[in-house]
Amino acid sequence: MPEVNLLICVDSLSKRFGRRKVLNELNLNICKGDFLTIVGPNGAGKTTLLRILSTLSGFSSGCITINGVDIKENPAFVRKKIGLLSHNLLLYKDLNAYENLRFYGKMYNVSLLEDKISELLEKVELDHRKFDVVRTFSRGMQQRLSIARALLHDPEIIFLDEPFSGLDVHAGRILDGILEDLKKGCHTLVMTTHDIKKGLVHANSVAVLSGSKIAYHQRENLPDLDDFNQIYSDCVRNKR
Amino acid sequence: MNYLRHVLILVQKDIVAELRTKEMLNSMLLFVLLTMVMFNFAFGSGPETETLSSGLLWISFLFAAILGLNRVFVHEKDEGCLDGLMLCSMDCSVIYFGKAISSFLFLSVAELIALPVFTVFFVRESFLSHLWILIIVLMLGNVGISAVGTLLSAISINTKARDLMLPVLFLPVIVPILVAAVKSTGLVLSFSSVGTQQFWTEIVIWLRTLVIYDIIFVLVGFLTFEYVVEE
Amino acid sequence: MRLKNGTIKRCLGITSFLGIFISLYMAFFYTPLDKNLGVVQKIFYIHFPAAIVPYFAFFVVLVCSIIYLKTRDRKWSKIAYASAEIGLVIDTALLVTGTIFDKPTWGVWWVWEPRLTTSLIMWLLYAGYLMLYYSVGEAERRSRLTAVYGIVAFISVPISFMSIRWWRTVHPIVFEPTKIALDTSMWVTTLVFLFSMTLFYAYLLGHRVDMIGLQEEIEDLKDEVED
Repeated sequence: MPEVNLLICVDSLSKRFGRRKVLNELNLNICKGDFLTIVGPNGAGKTTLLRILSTLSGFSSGCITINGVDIKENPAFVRKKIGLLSHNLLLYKDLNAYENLRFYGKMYNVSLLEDKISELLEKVELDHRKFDVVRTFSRGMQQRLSIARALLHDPEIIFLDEPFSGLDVHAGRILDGILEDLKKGCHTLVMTTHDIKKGLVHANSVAVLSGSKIAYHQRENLPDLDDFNQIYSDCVRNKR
Repeated sequence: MNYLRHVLILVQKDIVAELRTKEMLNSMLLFVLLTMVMFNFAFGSGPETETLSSGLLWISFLFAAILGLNRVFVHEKDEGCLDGLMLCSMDCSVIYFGKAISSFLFLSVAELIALPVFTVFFVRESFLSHLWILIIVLMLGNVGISAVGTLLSAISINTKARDLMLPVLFLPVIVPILVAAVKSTGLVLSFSSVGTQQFWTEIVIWLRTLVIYDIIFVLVGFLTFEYVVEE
Repeated sequence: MRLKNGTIKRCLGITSFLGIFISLYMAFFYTPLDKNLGVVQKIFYIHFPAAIVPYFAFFVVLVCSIIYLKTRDRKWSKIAYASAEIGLVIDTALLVTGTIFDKPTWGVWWVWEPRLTTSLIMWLLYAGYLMLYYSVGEAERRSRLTAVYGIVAFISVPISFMSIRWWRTVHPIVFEPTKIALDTSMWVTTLVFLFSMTLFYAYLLGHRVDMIGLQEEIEDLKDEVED
């Protein structure tokens, strides 16, 4: 294995709701600059995993470190480093696009905020709707604004939970472009999706989450789509 | 310093959003006015209603507050904004203070608009010379209401019953505020019939109760809020 | 361990039942008849412990809630809930005996007297606590939210008492409570009753905690089967 820079280290992570184990003794290592795609069937715990990684959800046992810092002990340190695009928008519908970004930007102490906001709005092609209330946006536009919000504070690590859902072809292309840029910019990205094809486009690392465990994880030398489809269905079938 | 700045940014955000829709303010204000009118129909207008008027004032404020407090976390919960807030604030208590301060502001604005109407409807004697005491009473009452209310609103938004839960949890806890506020408002409204010395000794007791309550519950909210919003 | 637990509970049960019988006997046959109130005064012997034990029970709720939030051990939240429930039941007994006591004494069923009013507010607070408990589905979240409310509720009790007392004392009191002069035998009976009622509370608490444990186990097993 080549010399790599370990960034996120998940060690035997378990999360229980009552007696039901959503995640069971899960291990996962993510290196700096990786683009990891996690695929898995509905209800496999993809969202739960991302919520735990972004410190929004607690876990029952195990240990997670980001950059060597335990996230349970120092969540504030982790929160500054991460950007989250969840399937909730995390936007205020009664504020306009600009106000939403300005609010989050101020909370994150972003310097040169105005420039940053214009730059991001241009990137997600919403600059013409800058002063419109988010409530009047279509779902896809809201999602694009949410992407801008997640990138506002230049996070090192970006978690994306089903980012392509609700996006039309054009908006999907915008997101593709942004993801490519982030990859080039040496950001670490973790994306969940149930769309295997989309998942393979950008990733340099793929994992299958099934049966509350990481059933398959391959970094570099990724399988092609057909092989991966086969692997995926094997993983899901083995669980049953 | 940064802490305070974050609280203020949060309050500012709430004010901008509220001024755009005015949902909370309008409904609280109308509710207060409606209660007063209904009260008049229920109890008639005579000298005996005057002795009840301080109670009427606070009952209508309290129920209007419940109306407003129920909305405090609705917008945060709607699109998962609470998650966003958790990610960008350094400390959960920033969210608590931000929310408590904005509900304090909205409640105070609604009350200050309703107060002249109340005076016209229910008060015969001028209490202008003691108005400043009444304002202090209102503000102290509002601090307590929003300190407890914000915490309990965060609790009730996490239940299945949601807005049905808040009054059940909120009203028994707020009894001391109601007692102290009604008594001191009654004193201000009838200060001419109470001797000056008696007025001051009694009002001090009630203001003291309000201050004690406020301090304790701001502290409790500050210390326990993180347990309510975490997951 | 299981056996020992059961033995303790059985002992608690037997002693508390015996204690209550003895105190009832003492109340009716050992203590003299009150000069002013007559036989009605007998209700005081159950009224007094029923007033004290809820405070104790709700204090247990407070302590267990704080410990739960610190340790996250679900055991404590079960004790807190069980204690609130039993406290509420005993508080209900207090309110009922209070009204029965008031009627012949003051001529009305209810007197807004500070202590009784505080107990009423306490009843409302913990009725809210139980409602909160049943309106949160997920066990961990339920424990967290009820723990916070358990703290808020208990802290508000003394402030309520204070404000209600001033509310009465600042203005002329309509019903001046006559001091019930208790002689030694009356005090002894009251204390015996208090002691047995506290034991009875502990006995119920033990059983209720076990029951909640079983209930939650059933819920978990149901979840597992559904999976």
